[in-house]
Amino acid sequence: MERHELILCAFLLSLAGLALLAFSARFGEPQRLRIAELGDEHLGKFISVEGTVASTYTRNGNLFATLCSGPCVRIVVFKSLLPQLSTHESNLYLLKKGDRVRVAGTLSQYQGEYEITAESAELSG
Amino acid sequence: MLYELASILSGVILGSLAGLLPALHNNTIASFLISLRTGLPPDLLSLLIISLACSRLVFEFVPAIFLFIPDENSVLSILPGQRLAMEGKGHFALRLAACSSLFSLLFSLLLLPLALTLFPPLYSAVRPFTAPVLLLASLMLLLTEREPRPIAIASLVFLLSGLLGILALRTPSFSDPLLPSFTGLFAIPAILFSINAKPKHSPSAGSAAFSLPKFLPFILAGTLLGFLADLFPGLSSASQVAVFGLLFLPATSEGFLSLVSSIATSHLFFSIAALLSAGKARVGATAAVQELLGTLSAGDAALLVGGAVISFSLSIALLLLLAPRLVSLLSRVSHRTLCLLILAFILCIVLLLSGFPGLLILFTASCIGAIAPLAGVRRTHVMGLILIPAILYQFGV
Repeated sequence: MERHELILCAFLLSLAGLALLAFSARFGEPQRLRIAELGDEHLGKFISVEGTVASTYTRNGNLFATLCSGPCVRIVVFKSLLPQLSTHESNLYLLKKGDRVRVAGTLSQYQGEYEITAESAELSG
Repeated sequence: MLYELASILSGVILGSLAGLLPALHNNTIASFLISLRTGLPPDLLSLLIISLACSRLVFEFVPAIFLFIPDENSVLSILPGQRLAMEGKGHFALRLAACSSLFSLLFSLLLLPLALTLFPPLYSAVRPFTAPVLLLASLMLLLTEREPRPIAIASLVFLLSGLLGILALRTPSFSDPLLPSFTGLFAIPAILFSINAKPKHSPSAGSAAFSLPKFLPFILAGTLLGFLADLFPGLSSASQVAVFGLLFLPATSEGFLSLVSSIATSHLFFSIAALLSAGKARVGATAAVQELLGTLSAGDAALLVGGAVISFSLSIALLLLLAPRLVSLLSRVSHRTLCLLILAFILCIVLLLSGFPGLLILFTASCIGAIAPLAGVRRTHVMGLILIPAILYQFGV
């Protein structure tokens, strides 16, 4: 195979790979868990949980909430994501205690407590 | 004092093992140690984590140079490191990386008081300009190809790798995307293009002495660039910074290896300074320390800086002692067999850590990574993987 043919082949395969990745990213589903099931094995993973808002506050424009369903977990919504996560149906700017929310994001640990950095959130019920 | 020394020694030993084992990330180890609840008081655990990070950084050049398996700090050392290893200068490459780290550490220590004073005001001053600076530096790097056709190909490679970065690094459902990304962009093409090559065995070349005057410009530049890396939020690894170093320092393989290891050392050292003076955790180890200790006292600061200096020094000495044995061990395996074993290992570790999406990322990254060497442009343009998402993030996208 000539060098320019190899380059073209690599380029076309790159495009194909990127297209497949874009497709996977679009339809990648988070692992659904109960808050009580959250463990160290889920750290760094993309998961979703549902619970009732026990408290909320904002700091530096970022939204923090405590979500409970028996045990509780802290949720963080960074200010850069707040506008796109706040739709007509689920306006996170109006999130308050007692709201039932399903949140999808990456599980991490901060000061010994589990925390989910939200990528999507929707009010349920 | 005894407990502190024990923490440092434990960190050095754990870090050296972690550095030799490819794919084991600092953040993974730090999180694991914190979650273990070892019973260690926070200051000793912080000291262990910092010592581990320092030691790991020194030893991670071994898999990068000889096994082509990189960390985000050592990824660019694959290119000059492999070149030197194929010329029978693998031992010299390790010695060069170790000695450059040592002198960078010394210069960083001398600059520490200045860094502690300057960091907070400089951080506030440069933060608004991060995105334009990253964008301008990226464009200048593309233009160093000089001719229109290479610039066009380099731009294509930069954009393709940037697109890969946006998809792989910003999609939460892809776990651990950095390993398949970097390995695909750098290691797989390097292995495939060299699999039939026969490395030279030249004992005299391997035992060449490290010459400080020859590498001093790269070490000084690396020390300064490592400091600057902690100022710019968009720059998180030595390799990103080393790419921009190319704008100012035309480097040979040896020079570039010296630059990368100097940047990596000073970047980690000054990240401790950033934590102390501005409360900014710029790398995983300092983020873990911030989580454990919160706001640092003067005593904590002295402990961590002292621990970093001791662990860097011990690790460098250990690597220099072990280097001949490591090189001898690796030279007993034929190059082709080693390449095939590494390929198999990469596939297994990517599948284990990142699953089938990781294999897809690896495949895509390998195709993108192959374009640059085939077309004769610099491979460093694939750092678009990190730079484009960083630029977009700084612009609020």
